[in-house]
Amino acid sequence: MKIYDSATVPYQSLDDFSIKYDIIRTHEEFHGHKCTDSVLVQQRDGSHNLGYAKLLLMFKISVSGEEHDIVFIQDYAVASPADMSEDDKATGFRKLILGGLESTYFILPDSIIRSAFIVNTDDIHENHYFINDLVDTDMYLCLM
Amino acid sequence: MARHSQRIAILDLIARDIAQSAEESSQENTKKVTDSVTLGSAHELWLSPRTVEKEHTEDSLFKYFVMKLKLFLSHTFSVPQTLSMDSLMVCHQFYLLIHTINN
Repeated sequence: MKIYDSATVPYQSLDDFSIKYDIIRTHEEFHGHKCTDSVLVQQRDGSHNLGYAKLLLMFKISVSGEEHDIVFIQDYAVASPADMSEDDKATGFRKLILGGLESTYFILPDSIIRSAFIVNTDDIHENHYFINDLVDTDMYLCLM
Repeated sequence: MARHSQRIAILDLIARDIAQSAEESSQENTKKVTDSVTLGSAHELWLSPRTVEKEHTEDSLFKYFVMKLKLFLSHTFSVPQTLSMDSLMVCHQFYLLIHTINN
């Protein structure tokens, strides 16, 4: 098992249809700080809805002489309206709730669509997050 | 209120940007993503892989995740589920990681 701290994700922008690249990281010491990126992923059930996930580990594993690239993720679920305060609604951002151990999955790297800017909502709820759809036009269009 | 106005202004900018981009993209919409995700394009963080230590094999959480990994490998690559932990070379960092996942 060989662990990697980064990966390059190519994707076709919905903005101008050009090919763009994101670098995603799970790095213990990225410029002196732990860096754990989040990503948009394809849903495992094959539906066209987007999935949201936190990257936990990116690794290669060798089985019977063959190497496989695998990503270990933790899913975020979309918060229900009942989980959103008035302040949450005022921001206009989609709210996500990070799942627990049961929300961890192994996926293939090609299931990753692109990186996502997902940040904590506040200091009280450690597992509540907002996904920022204004980082670029492609992200805005992805989340429309 | 100021944040709301700021957001509307940004959305307005994006909307204009989209309209312009859609026009420009009409010539290019046949482009497809041909590359795949490339691991470790920068550098490897943790140095060398380590086999799992004896006491980790007794850990129920660790066993649960190794089983989860075996199931995934089995479904995706037809790898037999009877593989031992040692043959998977699951490393120490994985053991440490699963004990830090928020629950």
